[in-house]
Amino acid sequence: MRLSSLEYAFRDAFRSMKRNKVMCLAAIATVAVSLLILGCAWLLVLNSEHMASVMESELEINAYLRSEITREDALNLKRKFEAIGGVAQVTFISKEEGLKNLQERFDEDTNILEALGGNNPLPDMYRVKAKIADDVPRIAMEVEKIPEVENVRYGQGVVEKLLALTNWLRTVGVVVVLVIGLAAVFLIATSIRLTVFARRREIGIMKLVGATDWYIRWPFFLEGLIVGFVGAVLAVLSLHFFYSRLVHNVILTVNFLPILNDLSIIVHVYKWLLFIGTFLGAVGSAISLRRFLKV
Amino acid sequence: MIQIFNVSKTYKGEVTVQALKNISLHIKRGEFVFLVGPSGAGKSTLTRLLIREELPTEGQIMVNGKSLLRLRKREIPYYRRKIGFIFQDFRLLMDRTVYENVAFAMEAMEFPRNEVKEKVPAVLEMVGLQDKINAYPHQLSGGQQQRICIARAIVNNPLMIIADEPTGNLDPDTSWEVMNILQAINKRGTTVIVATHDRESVNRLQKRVIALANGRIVRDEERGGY
Repeated sequence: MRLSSLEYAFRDAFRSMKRNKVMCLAAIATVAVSLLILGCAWLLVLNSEHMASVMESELEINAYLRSEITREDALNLKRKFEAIGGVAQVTFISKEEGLKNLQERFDEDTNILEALGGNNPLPDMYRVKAKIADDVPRIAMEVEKIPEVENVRYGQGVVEKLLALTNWLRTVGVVVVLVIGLAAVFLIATSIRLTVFARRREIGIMKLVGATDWYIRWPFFLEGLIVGFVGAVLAVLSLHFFYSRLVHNVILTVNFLPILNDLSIIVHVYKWLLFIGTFLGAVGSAISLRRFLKV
Repeated sequence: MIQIFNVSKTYKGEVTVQALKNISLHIKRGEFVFLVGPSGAGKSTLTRLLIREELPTEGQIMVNGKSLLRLRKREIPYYRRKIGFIFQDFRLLMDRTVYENVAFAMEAMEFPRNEVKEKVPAVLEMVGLQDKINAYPHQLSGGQQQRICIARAIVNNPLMIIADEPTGNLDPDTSWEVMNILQAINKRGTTVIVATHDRESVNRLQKRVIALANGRIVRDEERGGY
């Protein structure tokens, strides 16, 4: 294929898109909407994965001691905790400190101790951090075996629930995208079929004067690619606009929420969206070329 | 240049029609040939076979030493680039100017841009349309429209021109004009084949005349009349 023929193909593709404006815009909008949904679902999945990993890395085990243990015995226990394999850090939190921490969560007008009837119900406790998140359940079990330990709490279940949510989001996202993506492909195919129909006279003459099949096909193929690509660009632009807003607001207001703000990962998502959009366009035009452009 | 050996063409359908029955003929390079005969005699079928729009049911067609039957599908476009077509109904694009109509064909044959720009005005001048370059076909007379079609057919310097009823929609004076242009093209060495009903032009030009009737060649004269 000559360079000038590619130039002709681009010119013809744009010309026919201009002629079929409404159909073409509908196809672009559908591609954009489906990719926007895909992008949202994708970012949600990435965020909940990110959140799960952040929470996993912060996993700590709280070991509450029996109330009859003396302070001295309690402090001596530290070595027992440190002897457990995989433990990174062991902190003793006395019942007084525990109460202070609790008090800090309420405003100054409320006196927790008074509300509790002057009795501190909190036990002494140890906070154990694991070196690796995967070790947390095993360490928790060993901590439980220490006789002085009344009970053990760690974030069991939370991470699992988050990962389950991630999987669910992923499935729903894929299904929704498949359905709308199919609609997008169909619209692209229809829009190109209309173009083929509008240009059937030209196609007839082209064949007679000796245009190759691919010379005839290229403008239609390009039309599909352009529709898909433009739709994807629109989706990426709006997704970027909304997401950067969201990140901005989350950081300002609820900054403990670990939102994903790693540009290289987000750009990676954008690149894929552009690729998928162009691919949808290619599929749409391939369908209509096969079915309606028997050259 | 064109050799047709025992060619038959049958259209199968609700009614089976035998459009050509065992035709053999030779056309030499640089010849000017009229195909004459009543409607349904097989003139159009013969032209359709020559442009490889259809294949014969039986027989062999050789053009320039190559068999049209053995032409592969992807070779057809390149074969057609060696032929210029002229039709009764012109087959012009009404939403394009005279210039664009000719340029469109050159683009389809994948000529580069600069060659298109250079050749289109030259060929339009050859058919006397240099003043109408930016006019639209509907603003022109039938004869002028047919000249666009001729310009489009010869812009590629084809080996042969095949014209199917080129003057069918034109009045006698205009027909004569068009025939004259075809004759001029023939004088430059291009083989010209004209299927026509135009009795007057055939008689005036005194060229080779092949008469068809009911799918058979009934007459083949070197300097014949209608």
